[in-house]
Amino acid sequence: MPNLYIRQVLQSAFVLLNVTIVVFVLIRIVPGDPVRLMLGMEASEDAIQAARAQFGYDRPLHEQYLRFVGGALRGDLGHSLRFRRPVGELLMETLPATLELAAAAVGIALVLAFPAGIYAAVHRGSVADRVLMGGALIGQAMPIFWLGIMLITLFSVKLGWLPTSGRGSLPQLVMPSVTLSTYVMALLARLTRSNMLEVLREPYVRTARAKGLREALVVHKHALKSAALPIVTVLGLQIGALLSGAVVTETVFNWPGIGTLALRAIQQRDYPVLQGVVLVSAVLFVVINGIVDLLYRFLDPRVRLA
Amino acid sequence: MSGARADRALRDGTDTVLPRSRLWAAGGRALTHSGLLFGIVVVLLATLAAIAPQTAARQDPLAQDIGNRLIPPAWMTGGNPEWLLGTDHLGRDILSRVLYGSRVSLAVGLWSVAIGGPIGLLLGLLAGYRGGVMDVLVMRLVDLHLAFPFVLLAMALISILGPGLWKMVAVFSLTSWMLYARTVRASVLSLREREFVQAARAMGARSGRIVLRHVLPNIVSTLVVLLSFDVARIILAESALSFLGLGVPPPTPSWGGMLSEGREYIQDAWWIAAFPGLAIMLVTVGVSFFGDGLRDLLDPQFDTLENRSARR
Amino acid sequence: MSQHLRRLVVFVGLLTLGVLSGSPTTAWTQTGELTIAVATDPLTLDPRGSMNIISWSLAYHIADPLVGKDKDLKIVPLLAESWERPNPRTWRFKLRRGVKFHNGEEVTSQAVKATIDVMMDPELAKTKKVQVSSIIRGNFRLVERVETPDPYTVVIVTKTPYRPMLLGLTQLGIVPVSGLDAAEAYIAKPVGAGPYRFVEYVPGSRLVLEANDTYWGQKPRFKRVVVRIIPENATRVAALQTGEVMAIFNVPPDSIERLRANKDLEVRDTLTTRHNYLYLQNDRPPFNDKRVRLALNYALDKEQITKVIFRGLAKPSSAPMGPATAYFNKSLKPYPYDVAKAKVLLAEAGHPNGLKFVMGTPFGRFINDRQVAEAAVGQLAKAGFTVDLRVEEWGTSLANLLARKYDAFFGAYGGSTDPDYMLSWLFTAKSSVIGFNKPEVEALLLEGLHATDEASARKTYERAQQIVWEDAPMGFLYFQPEIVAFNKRLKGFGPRVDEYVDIRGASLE
Repeated sequence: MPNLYIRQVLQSAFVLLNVTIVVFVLIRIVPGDPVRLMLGMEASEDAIQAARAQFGYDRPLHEQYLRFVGGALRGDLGHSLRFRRPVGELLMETLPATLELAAAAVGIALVLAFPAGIYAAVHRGSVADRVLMGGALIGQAMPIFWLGIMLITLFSVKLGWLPTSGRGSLPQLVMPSVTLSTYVMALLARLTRSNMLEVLREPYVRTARAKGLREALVVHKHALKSAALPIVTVLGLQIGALLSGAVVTETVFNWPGIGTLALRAIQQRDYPVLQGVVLVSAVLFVVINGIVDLLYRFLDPRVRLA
Repeated sequence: MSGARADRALRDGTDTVLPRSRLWAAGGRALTHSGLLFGIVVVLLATLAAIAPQTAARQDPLAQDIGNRLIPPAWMTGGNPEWLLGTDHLGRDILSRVLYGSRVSLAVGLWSVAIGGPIGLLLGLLAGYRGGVMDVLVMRLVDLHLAFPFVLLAMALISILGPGLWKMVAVFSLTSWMLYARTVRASVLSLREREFVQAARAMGARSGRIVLRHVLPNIVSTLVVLLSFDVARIILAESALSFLGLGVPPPTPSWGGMLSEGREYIQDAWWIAAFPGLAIMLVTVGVSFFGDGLRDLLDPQFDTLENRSARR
Repeated sequence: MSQHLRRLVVFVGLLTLGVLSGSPTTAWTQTGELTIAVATDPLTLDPRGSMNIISWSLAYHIADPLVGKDKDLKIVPLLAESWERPNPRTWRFKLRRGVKFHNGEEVTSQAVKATIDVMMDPELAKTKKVQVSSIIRGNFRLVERVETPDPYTVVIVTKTPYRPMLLGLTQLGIVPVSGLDAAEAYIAKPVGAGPYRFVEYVPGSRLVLEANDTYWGQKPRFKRVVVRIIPENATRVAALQTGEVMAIFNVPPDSIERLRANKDLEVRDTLTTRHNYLYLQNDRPPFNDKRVRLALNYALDKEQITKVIFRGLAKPSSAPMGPATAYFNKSLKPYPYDVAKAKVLLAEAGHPNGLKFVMGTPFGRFINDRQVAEAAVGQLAKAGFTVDLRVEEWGTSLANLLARKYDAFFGAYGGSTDPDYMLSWLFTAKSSVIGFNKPEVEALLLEGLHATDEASARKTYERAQQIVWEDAPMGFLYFQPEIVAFNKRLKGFGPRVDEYVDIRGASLE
């Protein structure tokens, strides 16, 4: 068992290492002189040389990389060109907002998708099934920025039930998290349904049903658990989609998370910030996936026994 | 092959016949599959719009007519049949822009899988069949891809490379081939141990030949299904990037870009954002149905990608 | 099962309560709090580092300058109780006594000197790590030294007579001496002697201020002021409609009708000092040829832009600076819209088949900026100009403008009623981002700067405007309006000619 954990940690660490290399390279291929970008138009040649030495841009590439990683481990991700503040600080301010949004979205998705998928599976072929799955299909195809705009127009402007944008109160969380949850919810609903269908086909379920109600109940609970297992992995895989979706959702609702930060950084050519966001989200992603992988291996009886 | 044997082969997957026969055998079922029908219709219409938008577009999508800005669709009061779906804030015809906008979405979607697909196929084959160093290398790259939230990575790349249609295609294919390679590899792995491959190897067939005659046909259908689903994903991603202002630069019409422009007028001139949004949805759903139908026809054993990778 | 059901009911109940309690109406029924929404991020609240009007005006609420501008743009005493100008190069200010900064330090001439010194001296700014705004620094470029004969007297000596000294001072809030010695701490929590204290600033999201109960002047009417930053027009307008905010700025002209239809809201506009135009590179092809520049001006349909896109609230440009600026030359006329003439001129200049060039534009900084740029591109196309438009975020666009990267830029310039401020930046060869170089104009501008009486100042500036106008160094477009919309309960509030965000005199009933 400990072997499993160690292997997982090593794997994740290796991926993380690669991530830092990619991010480092990413920023270096930006056209233009990063130091000049940082100091602005008015900087004198001396100031530029001094800054170059200070930030180590005159060092060989591998040294720069080591400085970058070393700094990152310490939490020093450079300074924002636009805000003149440490990137780490900006990330600390915005990351919780994104996590809040993502968590709420996942929560909503789970609460709604799971029962919906199960109901559709149990009542396969019925009108409800078709409607639910049709809705899921649309939910997966809908551009979330469109949905977000529509929701704001309907629920804020026309009906006045919810605030339009921003973060700080519970009502402000409702629309953004519902918008973000759409894709994952649709996906989970379909997945739950197909898993449930598979499980329901199993012989032991059929026999339990034939045997009577109480046994059927027990069996169904077991079936639910089996159907739930793949959900865990899927969720882990969908974190990426969730974070991607968060970028767009945050823009629509003016939600102050790392997505908005990243977009502004791109618009403002604020590369240190962009670098920081990509790095942090990748790290987050790898860590979460690692945990999910471990969880899965832990939960899946087949693998455990293997 | 006789019908009965073909059916049996289909069922237990020991079929070594090229996919064409399978299509024929299943051909009769296509027209009764309403989802696939819908998908085919949508895909055809979208392709038509992209290739020859001028057949339905009355106006030049770039022609401004400020005097006629913000005109509602023809069936509303104040509407005008000259601009069937209304005009935007610069007086440009919405219908024409939606039709021409299909070019960007379809071009990016199709070209991205057209380039990323073969790359993924090749590397997935190498990784799965050869194993060893190749496998490790490819899987590391795949893991790496998994590590980045896709849109964020695409945004970062576009911001560095600059906007433009072909740059987007490059970014999408570069960030998608791993997805395909992973599926291909998984397919190869599961097929490698199958009887017919063992048999061929026992009879002394060379690796290359085995791959070509036995492994490849089975994989291609899986891959094609995956690619068709991915076109939908890429179209959505492209529209998201355009919405964020990172897509093709103005004044080229693109659905995501139109949505972003129309956002400001959502209360007064909802049509500017509504129709491109509908277009995105229709095409995405249509392509998904198309993929669904393809899957039912070509590869009934195709598990959802998530399940397959979970058992990796 | 029933346990689950119960939990679900509780959850739904709580959710409903939560939704209801946070409903929009509470935003403005809370006593003493005001929420407004602006379109642009101030980026900094340090009065010495402000780079845009939002920043100046918000810093203005935190840190009083020596003198201020009232809503009619007249100079009013703030930290300086009175002043005199004993000779053309000397300004003498008497400071109010007993005024304290938010951190308890007293407002003395030392603080004033520290604030102005760092604006004048780049070395000092660098050593003390203060980010100094190049725009505000320009106001002090002619200051020779600041003297502090006693704790309540400040003497500013300029190198040459400098007419707009007071106006320049209105842009610089006074910062305590600790703001110089501990600059980084100051930037994190700006402190001044203004009616509101700084509470928090979340970049891109909001700024929160609270009342300074020990303010020397008119007591602040609000306990708390929240300035929300909402760059997207539709969201900002919607926020006003739902009551989440009480006032918004940069109202898109297309929304005015709908806002006016709402009986709780009011929309007001005024022409500002801002002048919108296309920057052209005068010292390189193709715009180094005057005929091409003229052709461009004839090809621009200003009426269409001002009447249709701005719904008549903007005015076609007829001079290099707007009517709100002093010594505006009324006798000049806008370039007429004449596509035929434009084509003829282009052909004469050697481009009978049209001309291609690259133009940059910001989006979201000025009202309708992107729309106007795109409309201009469409108009220019009719005369044979093919424009490759690069839409960029404002900061990037500004950087590219300063670096003179593209052949042309759509932009705007404004913020002061002083003609020197409005003209010298662009029309002095040293600082001109359009490569404008006419010694005649420069001489006139210098003369105007030193002018000591109204009549000669007027004559000088009007002549300068005329020469510039006839040279057509830019694609003149329009004078921009400032459009604000607010809830009728907000009193003492309105659009300002200098576009300041100003709630110092406002109150909620």
